[in-house]
Amino acid sequence: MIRFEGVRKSFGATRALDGLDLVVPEGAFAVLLGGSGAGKSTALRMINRLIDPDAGRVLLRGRDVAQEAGPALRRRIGYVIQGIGLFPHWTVARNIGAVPRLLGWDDRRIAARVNELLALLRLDPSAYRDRMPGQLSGGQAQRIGVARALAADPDILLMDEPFGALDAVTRGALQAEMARLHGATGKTIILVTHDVEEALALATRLAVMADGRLVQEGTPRELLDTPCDPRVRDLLDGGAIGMRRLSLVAAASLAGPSGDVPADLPRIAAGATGREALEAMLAARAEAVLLVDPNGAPAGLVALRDLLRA
Amino acid sequence: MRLAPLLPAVLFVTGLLLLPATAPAFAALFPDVSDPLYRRESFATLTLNHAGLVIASLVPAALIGIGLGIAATRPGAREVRVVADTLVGFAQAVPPVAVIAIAVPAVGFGAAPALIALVCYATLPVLRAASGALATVPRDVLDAARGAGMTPRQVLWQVELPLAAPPILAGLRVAAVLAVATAAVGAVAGASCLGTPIIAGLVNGNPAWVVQGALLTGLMAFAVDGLLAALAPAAPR
Repeated sequence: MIRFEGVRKSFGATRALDGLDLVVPEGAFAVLLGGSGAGKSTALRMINRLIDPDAGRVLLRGRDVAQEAGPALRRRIGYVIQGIGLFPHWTVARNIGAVPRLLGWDDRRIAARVNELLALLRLDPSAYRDRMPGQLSGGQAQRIGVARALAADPDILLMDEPFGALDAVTRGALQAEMARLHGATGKTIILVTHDVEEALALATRLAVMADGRLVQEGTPRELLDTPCDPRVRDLLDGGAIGMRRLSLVAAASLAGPSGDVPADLPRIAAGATGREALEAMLAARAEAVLLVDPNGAPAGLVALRDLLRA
Repeated sequence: MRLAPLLPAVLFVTGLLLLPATAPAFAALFPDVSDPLYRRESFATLTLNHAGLVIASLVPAALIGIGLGIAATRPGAREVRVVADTLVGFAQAVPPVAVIAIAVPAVGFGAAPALIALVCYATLPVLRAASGALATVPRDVLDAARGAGMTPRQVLWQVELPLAAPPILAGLRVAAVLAVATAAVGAVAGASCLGTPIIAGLVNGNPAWVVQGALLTGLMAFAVDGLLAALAPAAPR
């Protein structure tokens, strides 16, 4: 668990954090959402002491992070940044092995871990190990950045606008990858973004920040349904609040029994969201969509009016 | 290793070996001169002494230049950079002959005043290269290095210096060529070097000696430039 208690920070005359109180539960995928200057990056960088507070404290599992030396603390917390920041003079393998090397792992253990992580991020180890960062695409480089952050198996991962510089397709793929990694590893992930869609797609806990303070914190659904502040409503609405709500709901939770259905209904995977179900109906000009499990067997029927219950 | 950069070195060695045999040519060029070939010391000895002056000044210049460059690029050390730039800029603005003239009363004649002038001169290109190269290491790379848990010392040795090495080596090359050329001036303070025939020729009205000293000094500067270019690592991918 990570807890911010009355944290304040100024850079010269600029007040970045103005009394931040925030709790991130263990195992959460927490997203700090806000416009530029909201203080979200500053807050993130206080968790691994890249920035120290002027006042207040940051507790990691009940212990003030200020009690631990910065470098030692950072070696057990993964850190991914927007610019990726791969070391351009090191190979992919050396980049991924950076933190294990600092921790004094032996070479064989590091090499094995590098292969394991490349495989985890769906990059062929034999093809990528010895490449230089300059030979990677943006999406590949960011995967290596994530692999490097995971190298020493930290139980906390900090991500500062990690996908901001990527094209929409690559960004979507990496977001899906992060959601999968979070589900598979149970790590606590804290991600900073100004992208509402990204926040809603990834967050299990969503914290909206403005002017250096926390405005509202909760599940994405809670914030969409009961925004406590006009700034939260404005940020999350964006003229698409209905679609955003649909995208948070599993289509399966709205489905009725499939029974006897016409064969020409569009079919989508049973794990799809309500938004994907609507999209499939609109695309096929159909009033319902059939959910099918991975074997192709019908798993439920979602009609257009079922979506109103989302 | 590429061969083209070695050509000036070959030319220099050839010149050094053939010069003693060219006495008749110099006699024909300068018929008024009684002794057309400088023979007080061998050109090989002068070259070794010259090289000694260059190396003895480059080592401190490199240490001071890189050291100040590192100091000037640490967080919160902007003033250091300004002060260092000003100091070394001032050191280079004073002509080497003047530095030698000022140094002689303090340290006496010989190699010492020449070394002081050379260190003043060679430090600036190294410092400029070092502070410039260290300042251009990408911020996100430094952020990632700190975020990975590197100590400031590890960031410097494992990330900053390797990334800044090519421009720093280029600065050292400039400093070395500058030092070879400037070392000749050391002869006015009595330092034995390839400038010695030039000064002796000027004092004795012997233009042949001036040409011989100037020719070898110039060829040596080219040779050092070529050799360091050959040694320089390939540009990073």
